[in-house]
Amino acid sequence: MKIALVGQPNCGKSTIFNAVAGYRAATGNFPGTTVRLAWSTVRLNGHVAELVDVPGIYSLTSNNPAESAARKFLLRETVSLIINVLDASLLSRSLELTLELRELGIPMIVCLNMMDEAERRGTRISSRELSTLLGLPVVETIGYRGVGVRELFRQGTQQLNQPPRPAEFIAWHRDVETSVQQMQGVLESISHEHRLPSRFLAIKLLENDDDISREAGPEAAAAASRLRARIEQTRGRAAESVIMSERHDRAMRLFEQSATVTRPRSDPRAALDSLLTHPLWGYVFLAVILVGFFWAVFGLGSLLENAISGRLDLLTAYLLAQVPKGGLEHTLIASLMDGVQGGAGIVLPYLVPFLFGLAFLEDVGYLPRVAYLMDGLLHRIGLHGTSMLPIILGYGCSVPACLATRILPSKRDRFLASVLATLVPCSARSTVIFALVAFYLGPMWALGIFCFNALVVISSGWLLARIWPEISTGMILEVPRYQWPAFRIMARKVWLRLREFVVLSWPLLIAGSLVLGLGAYWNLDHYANVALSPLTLILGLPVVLGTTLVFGVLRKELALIMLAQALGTTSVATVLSATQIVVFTIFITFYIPCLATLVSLVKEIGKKMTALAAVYTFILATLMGLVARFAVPLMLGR
Amino acid sequence: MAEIVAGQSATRQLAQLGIRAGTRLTVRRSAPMGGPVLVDSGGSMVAIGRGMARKVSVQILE
Repeated sequence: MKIALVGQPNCGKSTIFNAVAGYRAATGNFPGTTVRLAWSTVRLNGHVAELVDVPGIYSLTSNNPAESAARKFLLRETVSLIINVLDASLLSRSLELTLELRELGIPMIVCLNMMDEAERRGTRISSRELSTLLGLPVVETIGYRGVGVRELFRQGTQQLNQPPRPAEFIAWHRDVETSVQQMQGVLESISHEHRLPSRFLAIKLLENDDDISREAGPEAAAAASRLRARIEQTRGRAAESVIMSERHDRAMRLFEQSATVTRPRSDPRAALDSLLTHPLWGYVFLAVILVGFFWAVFGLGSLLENAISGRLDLLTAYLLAQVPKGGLEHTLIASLMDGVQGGAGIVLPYLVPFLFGLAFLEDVGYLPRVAYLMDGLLHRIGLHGTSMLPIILGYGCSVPACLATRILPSKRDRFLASVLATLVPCSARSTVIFALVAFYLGPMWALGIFCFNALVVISSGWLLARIWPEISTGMILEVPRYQWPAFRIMARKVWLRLREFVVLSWPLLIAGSLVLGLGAYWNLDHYANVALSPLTLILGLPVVLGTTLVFGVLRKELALIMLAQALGTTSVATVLSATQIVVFTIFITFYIPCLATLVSLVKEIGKKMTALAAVYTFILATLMGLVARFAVPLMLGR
Repeated sequence: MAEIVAGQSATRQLAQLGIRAGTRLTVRRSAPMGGPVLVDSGGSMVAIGRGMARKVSVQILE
């Protein structure tokens, strides 16, 4: 049994999903947080059901791959119950989707979410009235506080096996209604067996829906185009637009009959927004927010790193004192502790504050504002303004960033955005930058690397856009209200992302450290280093670092831990020069994305394009490493 | 707002966000460097790229 959460983007579907399923789906305050279906098996009042979180859609006509995934799911799978989630503060617009979903003939319940927000806006909704008019149960909720969620599922399960009945109120204008019924008649005369209700199919055919027209066959398509022509003749505009207006009209009427609008309370967020989107101050604040973010992560991170590393050093020294020096046991303990320390002492101190900061920016709703501010610049380069969303998410992790490109309508824009998003330092690479460059050379150097990276990303965008020229379609992006993030939800999101490091990367890191330690013990790493020596020579790095670069393909932070292992010390500055540290970091930041990212790139843009991206980033990394090799000594004044 | 002269999919997308012929819009901000305009339509804010915004013709009220 499948229960689907369906609604417009950013109405809080994932928050309700998580309230029932535990924190499984990432939430965030920007449209398109969910780009693929999330599933969870839940037990509801004695029923065992698959709860499905469906990506947000504005209507059943899709604009991008994320939306088509949602549509395909609703049209092809057997869904037992639709929970239609609405942002109550945008009631009239949201009802248009409700009316469309109703036609699917699937049992349905309406969830009026964000009731607190609607009230603040001065919209008072009578859910009883709305329920009578729609002929569907309506439940009020405040998702992020969990208010009403239990009641929603209680009433929802009662609704199973009760498809919505035709409601008088929803009937359309006579002329359009006649066309719909005639279309239905044609469909039923062709065949009695339809998986979807004939009324739904008839409407979609009149809307000139490609998929449905193809499926319905030439006879139905011919009848549809005759009826469309008739509508166009009487109404003087495209049939599709006439039907959309019909839905809009009904939604407006539903809204007027079930809600009253009073004066909205004055909203301080409007003032904040006019500051943060100001043509001058908007950019100043953007810079301040990003640099502040950087300082906060670095400050907290180095504080934690010092505290944890010191303790772990003592522990390592104590353990090593128990075994004879130079033996196999010594090597084993030393490499094991290197791996443990790499995770707890170097990665986690920076990763945790970083993820918290990013979660805050996501949940507050700042990201779409950044997209708005940057669209002008991006458009000049030849990119789509909405590309900014995946690119910023790339600072967290490249994998969700590649997935997030599904909110872009064109294939070319998705390719560009995913390549650029992988060039952006993800939290693992930021950790390398913080722990190596900021820790040994000072935070200004690290900030410099971030800026340098941004510059390279922009020029890469420019270059790639020239190689694959295409006029980018204009940006149309909904900018949500600011929302004060609930700490509980943020913490769970951070844990969702952190868990991957703790259960997957960290063990890998310790294992890798052991492999490298044993390899060095038996002198095996020598061969790998010799094979990679052309690269290390070009970059002016010690030959022993060859193997660490390979480990970076598995996980970027591995390269950092392996660095300490390969050099035989955690105080890197004693062995490497400042230039070498910068070159190493820059190379790690740009070269071939890690394994997990490569896999998701293949899924999003295909094998050929992924190979292209890998080659491109490798060449770019080598070139940028070379630039750093010669530029850094000049900057150091030597 | 008077009318929208744009491609079918753009017109649909705008309409889904409540921007259609006959509705009232408030322009909140317009970004520099030929950036997008930020439009308030019935309580929801939408950023519209400049090229797209040119295809939306409006009648200025008061």
